[in-house]
Amino acid sequence: MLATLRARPGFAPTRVTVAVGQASAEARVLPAAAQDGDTVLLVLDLDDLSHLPLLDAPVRLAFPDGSAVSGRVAPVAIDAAGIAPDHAAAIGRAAAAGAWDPPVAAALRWRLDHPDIAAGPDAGLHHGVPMGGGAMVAGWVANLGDRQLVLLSDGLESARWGARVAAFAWPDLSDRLAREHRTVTTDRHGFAAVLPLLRPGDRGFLLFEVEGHDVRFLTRLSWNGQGHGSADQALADTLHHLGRGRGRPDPADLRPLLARRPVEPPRAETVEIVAATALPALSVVVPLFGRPLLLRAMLAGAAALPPDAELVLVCDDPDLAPFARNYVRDRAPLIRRPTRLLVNAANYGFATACNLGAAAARAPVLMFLNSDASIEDASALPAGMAAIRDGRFGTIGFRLLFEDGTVQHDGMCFERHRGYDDLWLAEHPGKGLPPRPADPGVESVPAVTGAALMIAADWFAELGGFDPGYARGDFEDADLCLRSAAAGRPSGILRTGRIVHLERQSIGPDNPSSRALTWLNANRFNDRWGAYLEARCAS
Amino acid sequence: MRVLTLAHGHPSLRPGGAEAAALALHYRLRDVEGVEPVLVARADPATIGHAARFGALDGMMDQILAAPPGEDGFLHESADLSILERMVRDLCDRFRPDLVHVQHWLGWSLDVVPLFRALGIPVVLSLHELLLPCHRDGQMVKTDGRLCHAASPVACAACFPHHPPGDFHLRRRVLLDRLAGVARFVAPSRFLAARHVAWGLPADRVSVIDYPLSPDLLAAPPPEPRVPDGRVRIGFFGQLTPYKGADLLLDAAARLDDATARRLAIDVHGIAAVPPDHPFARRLADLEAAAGRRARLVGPYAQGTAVRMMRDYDWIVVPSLWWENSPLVIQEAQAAGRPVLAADIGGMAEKVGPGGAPGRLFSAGDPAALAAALARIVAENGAPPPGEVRAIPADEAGRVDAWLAVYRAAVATA
Repeated sequence: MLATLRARPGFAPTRVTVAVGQASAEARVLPAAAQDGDTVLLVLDLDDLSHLPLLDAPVRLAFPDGSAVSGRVAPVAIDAAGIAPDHAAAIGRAAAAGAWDPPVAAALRWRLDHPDIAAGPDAGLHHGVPMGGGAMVAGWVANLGDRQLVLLSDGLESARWGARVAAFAWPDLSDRLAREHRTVTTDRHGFAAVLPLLRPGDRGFLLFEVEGHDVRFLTRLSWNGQGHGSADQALADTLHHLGRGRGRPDPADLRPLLARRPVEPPRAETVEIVAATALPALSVVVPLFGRPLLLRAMLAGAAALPPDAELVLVCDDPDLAPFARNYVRDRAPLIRRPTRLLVNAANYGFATACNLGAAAARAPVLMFLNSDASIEDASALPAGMAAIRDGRFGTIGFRLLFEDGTVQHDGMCFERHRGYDDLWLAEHPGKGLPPRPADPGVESVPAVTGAALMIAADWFAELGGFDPGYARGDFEDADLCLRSAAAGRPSGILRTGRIVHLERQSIGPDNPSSRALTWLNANRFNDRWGAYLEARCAS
Repeated sequence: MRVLTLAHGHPSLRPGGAEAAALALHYRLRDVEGVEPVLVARADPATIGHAARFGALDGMMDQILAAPPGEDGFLHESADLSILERMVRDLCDRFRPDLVHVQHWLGWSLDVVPLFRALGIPVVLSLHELLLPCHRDGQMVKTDGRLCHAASPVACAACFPHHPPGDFHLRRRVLLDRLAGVARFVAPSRFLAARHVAWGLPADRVSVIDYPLSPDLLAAPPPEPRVPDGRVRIGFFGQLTPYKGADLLLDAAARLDDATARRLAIDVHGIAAVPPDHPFARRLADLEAAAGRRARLVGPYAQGTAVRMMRDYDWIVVPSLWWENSPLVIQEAQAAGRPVLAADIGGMAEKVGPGGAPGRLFSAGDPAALAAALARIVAENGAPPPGEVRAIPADEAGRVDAWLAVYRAAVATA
């Protein structure tokens, strides 16, 4: 985030530490010939942290010389609302001192000289799809041709120009311009870019044409809270037009598009529902999201769990929380197992919800269970606990069935996928096909699903739990299994008993951005495991 | 022998002759000792019921539903080969087939042939309509309604003017190339086999085996004569598409003289295959109005009820305007013990009359000829043509054996 700070006498640091409460972040001070009392610009290197608490609360600024001051951070904005005079001065000084590349500086100077900006008719937005901490955007500029565009996000978090703005042919638009009796000099009207980081709430960017010192403002393009256009189309455009080398945009651009993490540590309120009379042997951790029916079925099925099991329900859905709290309390007399309910302060996602549940679990063995999984014959669970206890396997999965009796999960394997840019993905062999006759023992497999996954509590803690850096419930399980296997404890699967998994029915049908999200998550997963899987495949 | 059959649909999800034929053969194979058949029918992902490319229809582990990625409509190439490849591999891993019988590749794409062949599995392919030679829904009916006798680049481009003729040369070449690995093609009629051989399939690899009857048809109670009610009743059973000729029948009804018409009742049973505002739907409604009390559109009928319903009629009309392969409705009429009045082309001409189902033929597409044929039936009080009435065709018993012979030969040469 770009913010301002008043300089003090003799101010010349290049870095400061900005702290609010327990959270802190490093900030870079943009170069500028600042006088005493001038406003200077800070770039807060918050990566994917949410910045809101910094804006709302007084902050402490610690300087490299050990001194510190209190103050407030004022975010910079260059959008249509106008620029505060001291911010404008600070931007001007930083631009003069070379804080930005020349085309960006030229566009910024133009903006400072023009307090009022009006939307022009020569450009439009095709899509603006927010994702994680940034957005993918594409649009058109009439007769763009080879001219150079500069995109500046409202909060100046993202400035894009040169090779990071792709131009492409858009013949349909030529037809449209011709119908409007406008001159058509080229078919190249389209542009696409990734705005890797946006200030929370930013929904637009300014668009300029810049040739040397010659700047022409085109318009400001914006989208609403849901975004504009489809995420899949946005990703396709991004891949197609910004592709380099093997067809992947710069990973540095993509990382911020993954989940934005809250600056506050995740919190959950613990509600004791049915107290444990003895230390349980197994903690079944169930993240709850979405439909109440799944919670109701989960409680009704609790009696199928081993008698020494406890239930740890983690409500990760603020919309569901009032129901979950009342319902679970109301049903307490009929729940046959020790049960606690965690009510998360926000929707943290699968990984964090599971990690919170694990922290609240009491048993030495954990079993993560999706709320849309139903244990109808728990006979495999004691065998899984035994396999975990003897230490040969780090993670134990289970054969899961769909409602029609076909296989939902029978162990996962890793394969490169042509449809996903040759990235390694976790595959579910045999999914939807009839199950094979099962052996009673544990079989070694490359990885198992987190929909029903058993692991020793201390081993889970040692591995650091699920990685919350993946977006929306994907790859966390494969990632955990590989970390366990790389540390010497592979995955195993049990095929006895009967567990039904109504996959993804907790979050409804795949939304249009699912493929895009899978692709982004796959990039993170491959950054970490590509070489490992390649080596294992080669051996 | 483990036989994996791919179908383009399951009759319980979508009615259709080829779909029904695939299921009938599947059921018949289940009764053969030493054969383990699995039917994999393409289905809309929503009907699978869960987020996977496969599922089991009503939990039946030998009737798998599948949602392949689809295909393009011209070259019939898979929309996503990487996914189809995985599906093929998953099927082979799970079922270890000795043989794959591609009942229909529609929706799967023709890429399934080389994909299974690459895994060393012999492929037998059924021919049902004329989709290989004819880009126009496989009907070989020209856009002006005339019957088409042979596909050629120029003839096909006349139906599809936005394609240069060369496109159809390439289409044929690509399709034949994809089919090169097929051990045996099987058509339900000599007509269909001949059309495909004329198009380019190797004659020495094309066999004719008519559709084995479904267990339901085999078990149908023996036919009984209809109780007379003073009128000759004529029934039409089939989908209400522009190719099935329901409109021709209504047109013919309107042409009958009043004396004949008073002694006749025509019922059209069928599912509207087009939306109500489609020109064909409007045409049917207009023709029904013009036919007055002589004919009526009754509406859809439930699957498996056709044979029973047909027994309320003296004759069954099959007036299709396209060639047909081996219409299920003819099998059903025969099982019901009712004679068939059919158009004199393609699979209908082959399956009706001496040696086939009892009945008569009329000049295809000609409403006056159909009207004359109806008048003759009325004049004869709806009596069937002379000759033996058999509910089950004489050659039926050999059809499943013929399929097994095809399978064994394909496995032996693989």
